[in-house]
Amino acid sequence: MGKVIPANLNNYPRIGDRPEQQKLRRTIAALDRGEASLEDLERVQREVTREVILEQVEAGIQLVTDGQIRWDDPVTYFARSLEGIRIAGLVRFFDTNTYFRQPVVEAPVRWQWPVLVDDFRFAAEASPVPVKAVVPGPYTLARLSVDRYYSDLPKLTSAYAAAVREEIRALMEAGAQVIQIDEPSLVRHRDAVEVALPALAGLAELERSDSVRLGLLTYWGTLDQNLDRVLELPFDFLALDLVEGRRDLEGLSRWKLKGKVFGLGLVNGRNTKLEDPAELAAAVKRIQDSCGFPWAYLQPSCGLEFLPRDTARRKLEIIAEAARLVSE
Amino acid sequence: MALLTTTVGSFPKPDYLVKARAAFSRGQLDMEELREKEQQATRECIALQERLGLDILVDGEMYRGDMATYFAEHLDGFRISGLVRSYGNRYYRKPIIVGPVRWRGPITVDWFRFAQSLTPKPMKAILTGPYTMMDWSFDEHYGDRRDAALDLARALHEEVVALYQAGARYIQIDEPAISTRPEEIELAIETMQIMTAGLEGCKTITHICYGEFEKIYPQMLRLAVDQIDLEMSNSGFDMLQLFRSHPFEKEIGLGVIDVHTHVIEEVDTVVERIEMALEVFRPEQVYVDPDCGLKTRTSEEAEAKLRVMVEARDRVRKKLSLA
Ligand SMILES: [Zn+2]
Repeated sequence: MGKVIPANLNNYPRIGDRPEQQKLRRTIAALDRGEASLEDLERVQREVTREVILEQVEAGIQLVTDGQIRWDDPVTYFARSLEGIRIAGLVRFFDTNTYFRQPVVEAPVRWQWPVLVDDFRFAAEASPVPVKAVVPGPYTLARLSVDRYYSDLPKLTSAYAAAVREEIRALMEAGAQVIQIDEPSLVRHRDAVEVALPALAGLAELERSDSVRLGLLTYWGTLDQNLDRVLELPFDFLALDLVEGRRDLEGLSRWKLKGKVFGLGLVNGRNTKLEDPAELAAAVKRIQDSCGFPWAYLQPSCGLEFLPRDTARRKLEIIAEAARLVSE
Repeated sequence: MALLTTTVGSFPKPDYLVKARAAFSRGQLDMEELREKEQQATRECIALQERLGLDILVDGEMYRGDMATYFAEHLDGFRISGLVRSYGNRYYRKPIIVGPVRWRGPITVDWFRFAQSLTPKPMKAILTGPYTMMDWSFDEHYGDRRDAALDLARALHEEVVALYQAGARYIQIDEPAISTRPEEIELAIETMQIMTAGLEGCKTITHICYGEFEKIYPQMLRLAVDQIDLEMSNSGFDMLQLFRSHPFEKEIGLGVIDVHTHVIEEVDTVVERIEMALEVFRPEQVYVDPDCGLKTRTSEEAEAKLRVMVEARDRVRKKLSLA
């Protein structure tokens, strides 16, 4: 039986319903009123990051994230630092009730400085278990942008890929051992793989030490006929949403015993209904039987920020419990 | 009467009401005191609409918070979640379906009666639609989107009937979520059929927020309503092209005021928007209104924007010598 590591995916609720869990919200409101300073905000962001890391660890998670406490949305935290990008109005993030600010590409896209490295260093120091670094994927960035410069999706994707590559290099230099590239757009468009593959191949082939695991994540859909081509990319793991993308399970079995490592997104990250750990463990074992992975991550199907904080924590506890049951 | 003016539903809440709601949620104000403030704000909102010369009025939704949560709180089968972030520093509570959804009695009928009693002008009753309620809720009970949406439609239809019996002759069912999932338009059509059944002599309307209209047009014309209200100014009137290729046979609620910006439109801009639409629509088909609810604007902005809208409508009427 391959080892199963309980992992968090990317974001995590930054406030909860208890007053002491709301200091970030209060501080930002105070900042808007001119009653708090940027230093106050910085301090609170650090506190909350530390708290959500410890909350993940207490829940039994063995691969945590920084919760993306500082990210306004999945796109702009990274995109706004790039040359050539202006950040425009709010747009709905896929089919959710949440929003992101849309990047507008007005000039050549260029990476200028590391955005995620300081956050990674801080999280790594605060966490007793390994921390995963998460970067937005080039294809998703391109798909969610307004392109006023390249007027060409493949070209924009490869320009974003060059920037993402620099960020990943910087993260590796800072000691990140697990790095995940988030590409939800990959399951939304029929031609996604045609357009995204060259750019993603470039990232998958990035030179790295044997201890680094560089992987790809999709969520809220299925790769279907594109699954094989994505699995051919030399990433160290492929993380999938196996709730809304259940259909891909069948395709995974074609890769049985080929040494592929999967992130199993089996816990619904956007429904409050709680999974049963025993059923979850049974599902993992069935996948192990059909796919024969050497090891895998067990994780939410999408970021947990779509849930209330207490439910998000419960979901992590269920993941940890199921992983324990699998290894028994 | 051509080119009647109306609004999409929500108005900005006055400061005293925002404060009262906060005090109420902290337990520092009782229900009756809050109700009083809500009624005061409703009175002011209706007086404002009369002053502006709007034709079809709304109650302003002073007593509602989130548009889905408000109805969920009053239906059986729902629980309300902890806080979830929507954007930036904004959080809301989301409905959770935990059992069969059932109507347990009138939700907005008393407010409709109260609002209508304050004005001789027609009062539009407004509900959040079943498709949107389903899409914006966590579902722990049905495990199937269609089952949840159909039960919601049956429950909310009882509210529609109660409003109709209370005298509502304009009933608007808000379905902002329709345009975000084009692949489910058939389900939205099915639920709307349930919602508007048996309302003789009543104008039925649905409001749909901006989204991928090109993917649901012309199918959306099969929504069982007399009027579809759309965010036209936010979309730069791109949709007119669609309507040229396939005629829009229903009445249109024509959003001519952008509710997402502080900037007050020029009267000329709004006149232009109405005239552009009249290249595609007959004047009797058109109801003039803002793109969406005004609750995110300040009271001053909302009033100024509506004043511009009514003036633009008057100018177009005069130009075309319409009554
Ligand atoms: Zn709207």
